[in-house]
Amino acid sequence: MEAVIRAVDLTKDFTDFWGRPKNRALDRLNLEVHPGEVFGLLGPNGSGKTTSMKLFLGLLYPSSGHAFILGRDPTDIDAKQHIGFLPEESYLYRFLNAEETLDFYGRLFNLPRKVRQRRTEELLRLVGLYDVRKRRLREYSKGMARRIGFAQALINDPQLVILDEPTSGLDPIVSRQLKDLIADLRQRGKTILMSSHLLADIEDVCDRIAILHLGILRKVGTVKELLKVAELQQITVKNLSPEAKAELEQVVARAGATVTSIENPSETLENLFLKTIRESQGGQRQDLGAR
Amino acid sequence: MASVKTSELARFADDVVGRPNFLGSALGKIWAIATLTFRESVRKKVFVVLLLFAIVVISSSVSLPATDARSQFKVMESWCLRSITFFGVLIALFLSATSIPDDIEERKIFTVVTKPVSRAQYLLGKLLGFSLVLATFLVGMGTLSVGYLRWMDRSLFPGGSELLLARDVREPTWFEVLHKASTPGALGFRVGEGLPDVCWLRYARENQARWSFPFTDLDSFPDDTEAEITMAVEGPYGSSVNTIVVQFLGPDPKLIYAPEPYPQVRYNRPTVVSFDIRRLMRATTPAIDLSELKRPSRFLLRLKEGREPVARFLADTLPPEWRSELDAYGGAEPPPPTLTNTVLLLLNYALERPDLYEPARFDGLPLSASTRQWIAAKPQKEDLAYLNRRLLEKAFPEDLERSRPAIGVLDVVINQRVPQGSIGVSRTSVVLREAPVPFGFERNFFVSLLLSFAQFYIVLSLTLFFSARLSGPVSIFLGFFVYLTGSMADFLRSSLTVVQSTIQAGGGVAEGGHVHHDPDDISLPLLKVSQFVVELVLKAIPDLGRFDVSEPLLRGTLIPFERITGELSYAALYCTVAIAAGWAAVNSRELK
Ligand SMILES: Nc1ncnc2c1ncn2[C@@H]1O[C@H](COP(=O)(O)OP(=O)(O)OP(=O)(O)O)[C@@H](O)[C@H]1O
Ligand SMILES: [Mg+2]
Repeated sequence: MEAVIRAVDLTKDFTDFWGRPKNRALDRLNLEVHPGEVFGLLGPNGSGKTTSMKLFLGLLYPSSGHAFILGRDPTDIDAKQHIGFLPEESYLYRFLNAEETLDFYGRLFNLPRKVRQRRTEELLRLVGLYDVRKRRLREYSKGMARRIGFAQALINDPQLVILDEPTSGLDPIVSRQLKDLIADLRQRGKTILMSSHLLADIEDVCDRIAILHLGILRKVGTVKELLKVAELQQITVKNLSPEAKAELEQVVARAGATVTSIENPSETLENLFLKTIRESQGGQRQDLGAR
Repeated sequence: MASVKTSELARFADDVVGRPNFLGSALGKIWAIATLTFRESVRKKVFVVLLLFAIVVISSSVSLPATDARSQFKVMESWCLRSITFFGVLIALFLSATSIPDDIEERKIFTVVTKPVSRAQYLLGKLLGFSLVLATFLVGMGTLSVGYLRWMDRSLFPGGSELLLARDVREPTWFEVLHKASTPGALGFRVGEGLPDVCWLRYARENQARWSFPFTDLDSFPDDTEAEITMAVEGPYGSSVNTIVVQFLGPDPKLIYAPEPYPQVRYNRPTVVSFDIRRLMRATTPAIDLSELKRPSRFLLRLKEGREPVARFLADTLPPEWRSELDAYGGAEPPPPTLTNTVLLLLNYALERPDLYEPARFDGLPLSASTRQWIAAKPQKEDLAYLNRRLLEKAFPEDLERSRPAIGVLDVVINQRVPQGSIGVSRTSVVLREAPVPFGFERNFFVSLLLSFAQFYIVLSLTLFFSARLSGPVSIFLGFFVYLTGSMADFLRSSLTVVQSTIQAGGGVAEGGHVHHDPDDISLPLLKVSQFVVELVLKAIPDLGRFDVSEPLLRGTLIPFERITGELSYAALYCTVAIAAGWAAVNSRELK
């Protein structure tokens, strides 16, 4: 099947006022996001996640290489009929209330009034802002603003949803709900590209992930694939008593193997992440700072 | 959150979201952005502050110093217009300079341009939104000011004044000062050609000034045309009153009409002299002679065939034997003298007939409004003959010579009545004016607001262009710079001629063929550079001075239609270029 998002040697140099290249935010990125999958972008601060999303959306123009979205050029406005985008920070028009905001974005798709009204109500209920729908956005808390940002990304029932750090600023309950929602969208055959710093989030919902560091793609693949280490096996058990553990170790020893660790499996992505970044630093630096 | 499953959300079929981007849908998006921009602008504090300030400034015009009620009123009028324009420009500047940079700075633009909205649609939506704001401002302030001025007019001049009227005027195309004592026509100027501002006529009655008004058709001069004369006056013994003689000269110099009593003029105060245009025509006789029939043979055939209703009417009055003679005529050149005599008799007899005019008979012939008025007045005797002559000319335009040249000149000649004091005349001292138009003042006021709008729009589209690439404050600064230099374009242009003449003189002051070099003079290369810069600025900067129509407004003359269309098309051209540039700037801008 044709890729929903495709990057071919996509490179972005930020330039200064005179057009001289200042820093390379993205370096020859080659990537494909397939239809119907949830794709996660991982990377420390300043690794080029937002930059690559902006390139896919035609907000930035590539210095070299190409990006395709829904088979078209990112500047093609017809492709945007089927795209929803939640920016990193969602400042919307603060003098509008939630209802007016969604109505405005609906009008940008030329949705008929009836459809806009129904859709607005549904989305407001979905993100739990229905009761405060008449409140101006300037009076919203950060998490509430984030939710309305999420709602506006879904106003057109998009085929492709691009979410830049969707869970930032959300309380744990809501971020759990959001992840359910993402899974739900996936169920309906939507494609989702998201970035996050919360590895647990990524691990929970993403089918495939890519790890970026300093603008370079370090690893890409399904979560399972990446976490599978060929000569290692992991046993997850419940209520393991110390005696049982000792016994288990004996069994393993008898089979000629050794127990290297017994730890919480949810930390494995974190390990992978840290390892990948350290590798890409060549072990010279220990910090994860941006260039 | 998530009390609803997304699977319960309305799904859109392709016909709701996936429609191609045709014109109608583009307008819908532009309108959505425009209304949002409108709401955003109206909410801005700067808008409200400027609005209140404008109202305060306009109403403060009551306390402006003035010598009398009349000039106070004029001052108020121009004050209103100028402050509306000034505050409108400020509003245009502040709104357009900050809008796009704000959208980008606050990342609001991300959610708009990632929807199916092209950058052009975004820009047009913004422009339309600002237009709505400015139009609201103009209509609101305009209505307020007109109401205020009407009310002031009523309270300043209880009997009603002539100040709130506006009429059509004709300006002269030629102005000359004749010194009869020496060479006639010594000082003549085609209008617009380096005229001295004021020419003084002193002491001698023979010194005359003449203004010429060409016209293509006397019919187009309404009968109640008046001449409005405004001049500088130095009366005898230091007074500011003088008496002048006004003469109206028709196309033929013999046709002179000098209204009496001799009008008095006051310093810079318009004096109105009315005259009856028909008096000038009356100098000719209405009778038709042979020389006025262009081709008798053709006219005879026309009568014989009697296709046109008027020709039939004329032929029917012929006695039978003359009629048969006409019927026998086959078009021979020249026609027999008896027949031409018959025709002349016939035409001159028709001049006296009150039944010549009948609506059906002249149906389809181009009768001017003044001719129709004349018909309605049912003239008698001599007047009737003049009318019928005009009617016959209309009926047989190819055969009958006009009783006066179709293209002619009406001259107004003025000299002093007695050689005491002097009068200072200029090109615009005499204009011909017609009857006041109903609501002429309102029309004028709103036309000048329309031109202000055009001016706002130039500032607006340029500022929007700046703001597409630069920050808000920088755009405000540049927009204001454009507004100031644009308003002073005239001044800059005239300073350019000074610089040019200095350069031609070789960098010094030319005096009697020699060039003086002052050590303090600016060096020649520097002058050349500055000339080049000023020329460049003048080419790029819009000329905003041309939108200033306070002069006709204060004078109470209708702003000519050609002027309106001229200025509007200038503005349209300028704005199109600026908007196209703005589009290119927005389109190529990366949203970081
Ligand atoms: N407007 C800009 N001008 C210059 N450099 C920029 C600009 N925006 C981003 N960069 C640089 O590009 C690189 C990638 O930035 P980007 O925003 O894509 O990182 P990110 O992965 O989204 O980081 P975060 O996790 O903090 O959101 C960084 O080095 C950053 O300094
Ligand atoms: Mg980011």
